[in-house]
Amino acid sequence: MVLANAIMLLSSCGNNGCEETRESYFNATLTATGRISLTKLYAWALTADGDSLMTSSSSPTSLELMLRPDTTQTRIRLQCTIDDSGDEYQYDDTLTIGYQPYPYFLDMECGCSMFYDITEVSVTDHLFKGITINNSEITNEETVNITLTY
Amino acid sequence: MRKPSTSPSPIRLAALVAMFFTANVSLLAQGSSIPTTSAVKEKRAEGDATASATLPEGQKYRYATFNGMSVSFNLFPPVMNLFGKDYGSYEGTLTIDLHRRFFPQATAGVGYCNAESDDFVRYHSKMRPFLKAGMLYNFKYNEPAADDIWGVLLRFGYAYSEANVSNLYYTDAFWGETGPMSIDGMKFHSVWMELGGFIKVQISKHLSAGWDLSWKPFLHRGSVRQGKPYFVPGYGVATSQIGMGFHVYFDL
Repeated sequence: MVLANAIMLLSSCGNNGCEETRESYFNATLTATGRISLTKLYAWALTADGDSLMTSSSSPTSLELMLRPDTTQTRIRLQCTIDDSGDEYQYDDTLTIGYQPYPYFLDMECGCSMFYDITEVSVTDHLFKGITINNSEITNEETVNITLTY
Repeated sequence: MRKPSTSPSPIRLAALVAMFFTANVSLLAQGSSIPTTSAVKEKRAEGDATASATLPEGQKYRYATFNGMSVSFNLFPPVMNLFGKDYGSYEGTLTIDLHRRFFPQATAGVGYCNAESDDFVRYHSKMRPFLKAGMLYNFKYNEPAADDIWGVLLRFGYAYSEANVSNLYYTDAFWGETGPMSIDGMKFHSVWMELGGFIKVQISKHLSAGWDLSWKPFLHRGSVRQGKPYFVPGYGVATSQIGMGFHVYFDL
């Protein structure tokens, strides 16, 4: 019995619980081109049921978003407050991300993560001036996918 | 009209290899130029009576270059199946004894997995082959009575496997749960190394038992776009880097 328990214990080494990162994020770097600075940012997911706040931050330099896994497009309303030489202004822009989602099997304990191949990205130009795709693959590893300049 | 092929078919080639192997084993068993393990042991037994602990000056090895060979089977996976494991690898190994010091090995086998997790994720890997090659090194190679040996082992393994995974769910903090999803037709080529220790004990004239314990880092796990292998034939569960074996050796 002791031998049987020892055998079961040895055979299960390293197999207890999930040690992987399951969630995958779309990462954007926010870069200022002039004297203005972004003081506040709210990111709202636009759905058929209405807008839903996904994340908010003060003086952000980056943005982390979760893409909807059961469709091929996610639209985010970016509600931005900027500081321009002491004066505050508010802008609303819409970021549209098109992608192909696919499940990625991690292991039996973790199940799967969701990875994405970005097919297109666009943003309205009330505040933002440009967009660059740095990495079109979204995985469970941290990487910068796009750079947004304002 | 289809012309007969000039190159041998895989089946024919396999048959030729098998014939070549059988012929060689027969030759060895008939006591041709290469002695059988039994002949070596008989000679050794004769010598043991008069053998001294120290070797004559200038003699490096007590035992012959070709000191016999054996086939062995790892009984650990079938035993684990009896304890309810839903995967297994079944293997046979040919081992050659050189000077009772070096034991080069070649292993061939098959492995399968039909597992279900606590969250009902199902992983199905068909019976697929694997190969290993390596060597055991015996520390007690020059001892007069060296029937029980122990030492270190180094092996390299390669396996090909195919897997389907089903009943997958993905949950994130914002969008909630997505699923169930399936991934079919993942094909993995995995390479690993085994580094460890072994003990081999003689039970009777032609029968020995052996245990080994090894650390098995992947050199190439073989992950593909859709995921990582959970089970690798000949390796076991990919998240566990510790392996053990219980082998029964038959001397040829």
